[in-house]
Amino acid sequence: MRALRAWVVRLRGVLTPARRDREFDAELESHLQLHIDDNIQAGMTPVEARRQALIKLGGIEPARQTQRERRGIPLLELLLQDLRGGIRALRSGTSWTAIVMLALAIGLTTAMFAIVDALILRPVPFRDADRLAQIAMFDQHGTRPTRWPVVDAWKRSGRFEAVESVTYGTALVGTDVGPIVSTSAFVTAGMFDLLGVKPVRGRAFNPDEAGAQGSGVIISADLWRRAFNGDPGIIGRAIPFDRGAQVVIGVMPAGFRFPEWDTEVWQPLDHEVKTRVTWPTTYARFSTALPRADVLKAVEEIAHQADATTNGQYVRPSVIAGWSNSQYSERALPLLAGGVMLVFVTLCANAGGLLLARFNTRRRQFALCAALGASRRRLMTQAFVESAVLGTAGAAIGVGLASQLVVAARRLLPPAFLERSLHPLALDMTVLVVAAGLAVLATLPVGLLPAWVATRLDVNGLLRLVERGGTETRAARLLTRAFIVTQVGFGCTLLVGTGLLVRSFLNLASIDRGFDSRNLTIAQVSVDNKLVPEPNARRAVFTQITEVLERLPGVIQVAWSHGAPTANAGLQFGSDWLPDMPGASPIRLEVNALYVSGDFFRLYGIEVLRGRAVEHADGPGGGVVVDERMAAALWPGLEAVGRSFTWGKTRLEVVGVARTTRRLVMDRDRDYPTLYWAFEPEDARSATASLRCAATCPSDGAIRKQLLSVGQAVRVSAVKNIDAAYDADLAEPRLTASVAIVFAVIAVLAAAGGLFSILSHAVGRRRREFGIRSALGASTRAIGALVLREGVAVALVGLAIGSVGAWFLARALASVQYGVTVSDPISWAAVVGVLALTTLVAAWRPTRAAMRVNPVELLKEE
Amino acid sequence: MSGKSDVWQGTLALMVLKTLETMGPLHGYGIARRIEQTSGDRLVLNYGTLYPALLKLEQEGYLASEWGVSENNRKAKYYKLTRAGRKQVATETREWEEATAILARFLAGEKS
Repeated sequence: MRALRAWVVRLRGVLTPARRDREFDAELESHLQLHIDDNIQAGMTPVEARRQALIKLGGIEPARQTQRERRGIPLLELLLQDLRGGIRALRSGTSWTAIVMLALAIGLTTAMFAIVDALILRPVPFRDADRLAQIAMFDQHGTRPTRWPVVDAWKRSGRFEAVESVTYGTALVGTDVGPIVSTSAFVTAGMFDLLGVKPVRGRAFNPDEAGAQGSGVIISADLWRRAFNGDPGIIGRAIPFDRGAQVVIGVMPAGFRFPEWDTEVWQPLDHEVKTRVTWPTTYARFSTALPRADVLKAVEEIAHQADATTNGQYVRPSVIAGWSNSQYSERALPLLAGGVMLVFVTLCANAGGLLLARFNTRRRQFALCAALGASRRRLMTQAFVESAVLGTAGAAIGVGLASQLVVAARRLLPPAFLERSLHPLALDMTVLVVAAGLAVLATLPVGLLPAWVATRLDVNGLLRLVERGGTETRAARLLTRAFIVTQVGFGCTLLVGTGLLVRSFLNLASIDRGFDSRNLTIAQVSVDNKLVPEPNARRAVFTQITEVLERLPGVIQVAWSHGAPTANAGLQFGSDWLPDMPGASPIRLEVNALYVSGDFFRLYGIEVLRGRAVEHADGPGGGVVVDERMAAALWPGLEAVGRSFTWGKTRLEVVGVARTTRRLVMDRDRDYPTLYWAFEPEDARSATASLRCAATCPSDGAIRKQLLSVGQAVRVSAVKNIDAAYDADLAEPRLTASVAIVFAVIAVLAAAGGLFSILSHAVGRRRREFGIRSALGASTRAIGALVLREGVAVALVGLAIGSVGAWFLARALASVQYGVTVSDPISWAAVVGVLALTTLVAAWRPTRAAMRVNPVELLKEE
Repeated sequence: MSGKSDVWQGTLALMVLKTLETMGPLHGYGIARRIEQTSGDRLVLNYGTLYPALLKLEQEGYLASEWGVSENNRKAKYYKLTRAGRKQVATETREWEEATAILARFLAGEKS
């Protein structure tokens, strides 16, 4: 208790040092006077009396010192003193530059972490997520169909705690703001229970609900708020759906995203869906009681018994990904995260260089302090506390920056990149902890190394140092060089990466698609086969649709197909194709199959090079058109027209060879050859209408309205402009390239700034030397060359190290490259050019300053 | 060892407290002189070390101080015992006596 009281009093002592100093001085003075009085009474002379009193006291200064130590808390006082010093140091421009560098480093890295965390790192937001898995049959080729008999057998077996299934779809929902197309999912009754999520309003599906027609739907909180204005009476309301009116029975919590990031409507997976979709996506929850390996072995056998076609296949559980996104983002994001680490290190090296330069100019002050008895540890603490103040300021600004970046990211990037996580994106506690960690990570080397190097004072050199006004030690020079080489090297690495990404993007954007994409809009249309089941009637409806579309202003031509030559449209499958040559063996080939009407080729401007286009009369089993690539694969070097091949049991005759079209897929080898089948819309459940327009196509809304005017049976699920869609497909590569450009620009500017600052410091330090050289007759050009050489040497070392890094980076980037090789000469040339220019620009001013040193003025100064 | 000895660690506080109990309020110089006199001038006190000790006792709440005027009309800071200080004198005196008694018995035993 007493000790605690004493500490509190001492803490107060820390805060009011001046007043307490004055009071103690008064007490000492009174003590001396009393003692002197006594001594004089004892017969001493006044001088002797004072001398004796002082001796007995042990000196005034030591008394003051011991008093001070007891009065406050010495360590705390020193720390406060250092802190004050650090805050005072904030007044200098160098400090602010360093803070900006640290803030940029911490801000960028934190924001990137928030994104990576939301998309990749965080487990899916469901109860006991580690026991959840998506389960399916696999063989060496990948996923195999896991059909209902297998799923039902698993469910019955009781080996899992729960087994539930999902199928995907889109639903046309009649809302208060008009009809909208929503991503929907059909789920088995226990799905939400399996995930451990309950509706916030209403209820989940009952087991008996599956199978009853016109049963309820569950909607997302977002859809409820956005499209039904948060109607409090939503539960029990009947809403028009493409499958007929449905009653809303529940609203899921905000932020619930499953099975896809944009699923808004959940319907019961009933008997009708079950007959239509034979291959659901199945999820299971492992029980804690049974070992997983045993469970998997058991359910594998169950699968083999339930469905003989699964023989030889095995069961594989896959983690439910927190991220249902495009392959491109999945590959690009870790690379960008790596890129941000390079930027982080570059900026930290820059800040470190700045601090080192500052401490170096203060070596004179450090030397004086050391001469007056300050220990090295004391000096280092002082220097480090100063750096820590900068680090803290940098972290604070950095977190602010990160939150702004995240807000911007949320607003700018959604469809392409960020929103596709099962998590919403936000700056939360974890992210803040990471930011703090980054700040420490940045401050430790950036603060400690310069502090350590700058306070390395050897006693012999001390006096000389003070006399000459500061010079650089070997360690300081080495560290400065290391900092600058790091910046130039990482800048170079980032530049190469950026060059490759930008070139890939340009290649993608300028890809020859093999058809005329201008003024082209496609609409996904279906005619309800319950309302119009009869083929002739269906044909009539489609003819009517064609006519009304052609009546739209500006529309020249309409053609029907199933699938379109865009990135994700068309049916891709791998199969064995047997060409009609004697002794030929089946050729395994992945193709992109399009079902097209006869005028499709003319509308898209896809040239039929030889033979003719498919016609309705060709039917589904007869004539097909293959593209150049497929022709070359099946009959290398031979004319394909007139030949035939066998697919399964069907014999197909090639009536024409079409020019190659290219789709926008990052992996060139996944841009499969195209096979065109004859098709008329009335045969299919849904079809794509392609509209060729004279100039600009009518708006998507106008097209949709025109389509719906045909009748109740017509459903429109999507209308999109081909160029706009293509643009959207390019969004991710464009975004990645832009982010990479930002990173590279920051890194190169940092490197240039760092180079400029060390050269300037070097010139400032060597003014004397330059003066003497010029007095001895060195030409100004020779002196300029001296400075330039130093800059170029450092840049070259950086370039060499950076090239090695860039080589590795380029290999990592291979998966997101399109049409560029790792050693793309243009990218490399650009890097060398940019770095050479940077070095020259950075060295220009210091070099001129060195050339202008006037020996006469220099002498005067001394 | 000469005739004069230094003040042992930890005993100075007790001496200060005891002096103030006997003498009433006193300034630093007075306390120092009194301790030396009481010891029959056998203790050498570095006056500079007295003040941190006084400060410590004050921080712990055993002493209170205020400025006053000495008998020869000099301004001086006077220290006096607080109530906690009085109790502390009693406690520490008892502890000290116990410790010396044990030591005395120990030394006596060694001799016999």
